[in-house]
Amino acid sequence: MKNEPASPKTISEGALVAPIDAVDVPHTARGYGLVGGAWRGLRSLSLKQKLGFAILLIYLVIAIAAPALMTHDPWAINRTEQGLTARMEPPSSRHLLGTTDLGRDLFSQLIIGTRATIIVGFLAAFCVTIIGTNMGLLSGYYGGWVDEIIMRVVDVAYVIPFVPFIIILISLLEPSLWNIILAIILLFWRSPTRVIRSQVLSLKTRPFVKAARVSGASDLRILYTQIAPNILPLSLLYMTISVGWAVITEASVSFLGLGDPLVISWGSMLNGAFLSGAARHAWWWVVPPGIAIVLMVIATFLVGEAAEEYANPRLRER
Amino acid sequence: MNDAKPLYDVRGLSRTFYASGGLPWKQPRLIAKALVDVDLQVMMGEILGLAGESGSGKTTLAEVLAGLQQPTSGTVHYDGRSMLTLRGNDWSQFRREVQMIFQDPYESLNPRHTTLRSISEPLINAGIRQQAELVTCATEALALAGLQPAEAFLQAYPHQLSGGQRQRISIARAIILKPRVLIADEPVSMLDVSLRAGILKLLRRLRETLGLTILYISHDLSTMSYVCDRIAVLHHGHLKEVGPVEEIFSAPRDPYTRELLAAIPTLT
Ligand SMILES: Nc1ncnc2c1ncn2[C@@H]1O[C@H](COP(=O)(O)OP(=O)(O)OP(=O)(O)O)[C@@H](O)[C@H]1O
Ligand SMILES: [Mg+2]
Repeated sequence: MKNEPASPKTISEGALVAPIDAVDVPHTARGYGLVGGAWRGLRSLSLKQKLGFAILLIYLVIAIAAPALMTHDPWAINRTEQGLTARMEPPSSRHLLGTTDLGRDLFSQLIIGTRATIIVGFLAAFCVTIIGTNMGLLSGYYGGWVDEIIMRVVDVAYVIPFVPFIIILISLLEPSLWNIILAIILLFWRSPTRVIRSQVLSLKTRPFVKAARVSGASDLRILYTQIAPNILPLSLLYMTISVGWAVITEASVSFLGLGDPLVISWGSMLNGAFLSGAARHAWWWVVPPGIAIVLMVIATFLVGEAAEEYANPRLRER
Repeated sequence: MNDAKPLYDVRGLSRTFYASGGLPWKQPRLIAKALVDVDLQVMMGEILGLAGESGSGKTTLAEVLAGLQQPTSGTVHYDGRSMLTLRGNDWSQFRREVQMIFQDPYESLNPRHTTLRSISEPLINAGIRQQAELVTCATEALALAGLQPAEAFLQAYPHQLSGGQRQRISIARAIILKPRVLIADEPVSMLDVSLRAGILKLLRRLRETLGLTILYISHDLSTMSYVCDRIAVLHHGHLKEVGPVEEIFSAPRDPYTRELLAAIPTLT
């Protein structure tokens, strides 16, 4: 009888006024939201993902504490005890990573270079993510001409070759850190836009969106309170990936000599090494910034991998 | 309830779906005639069952009545006014008065919102923002929907709850503003058989306590016999027949209704 609700006899009229149906209480009343979920996610990371987070954290600390960590003024032309310019000195206790052809301390340059990299990497990635996420949300949700316009601009952004674009942009404006950030944003917002748009296309047909509409929510409210929370993990993923790309891009641009002449970055250090012709034998000038860049990029991709697992529950529940 | 006046008056309602031709000069291609020339009245305070096989247009009709879709042709009057003329405040009023619950309890709650957040949505949109008030109203709505103690559910996420609990939360969200109309689109078809009776009982109880008018949709006539006062039968977008439950069950006029009745498994 219990399994036969189809029969009108199973429900007596008396039962209709029974106070409360027996309903079991959820196992855990404490749920985990975005923050709680992120924390749980952080704890269930693999060793190499934890390493990625640790490296990023160390870079961040170095960037913030740079003035205290530097042993010399990175621009100063250092002199030996004899009063000569300390050119091309290999690492020593006085110059931990040696000196440049102009006698500048490379350890201090490496330390202060962390700042430019972190600023470009995080600021550019942040803007790319904010712009890409919003464009993807609007494009996917509203469709029609809004979608048409945004997607045509995205198409254009996809066919622009990066290096010529940046050369033109920098020569039209001026070589500065901000213009490099601008160039990175202009070129990279396209990927999160596309991916998030397609995600929104499927999310907006989900019944909870209809339910929100019945509840009287406006389009914007639905977009930002119902749909956006569901693409946030994806945005986070793009944020971390973008940090890696931004770092690579800044390094390439600075290496090409299109960087900000007043800012030391790892890319500009490499550029200096090659311009001076010292790159072939002064390993202490080339290897440290090279390793710093590679480590940073690897770290962001490891964090990206973690973000991807967080974004995709199916990967998470391995 | 016997000689109540119609809350909904539907006349000549048709709803057709086209696939856009893609290019502006291409003819849109007809994909479905979901509703064809439907005349239907929903009486105040009644529970009207809407039966029909899959694809017969039940959800489409429900969504038109809920204001989620526009008719292709025909008129729908709600409380004496054409729905097309509802604007601004009148429209917000309509939104508060007409609520809907959906078939899939796993999909009708946002996976990233707590129960409190989901249930509060209608209140927030009606301008109620105070946390204490939201909690009080949500607790009351949960109790009405048969979920107690409320504290056990308010902070829970959908994935921590069972299908039956989620459907009750959807119901709590729908009744929190004390609406006049509840449109229930196959509210039990995705639930475990053992949970169905409880939800259906709940719908009847809500009609008594809140004076709701309920449109209960199902492809299964058997569940309708103890939920509904009247039953309307849809087939391929056409309204085949409407009548009191006893009449439909004892003396069906339309051959399609007889077919549906014959499909009910009997207890023998
Ligand atoms: N958005 C849409 N676009 C195109 N066709 C649609 C759309 N919505 C419904 N239809 C078509 O209209 C017809 C009626 O669909 P509807 O969802 O109203 O049926 P239903 O009775 O609710 O069926 P079910 O029992 O499967 O839920 C179907 O043929 C369906 O394919
Ligand atoms: Mg349906």
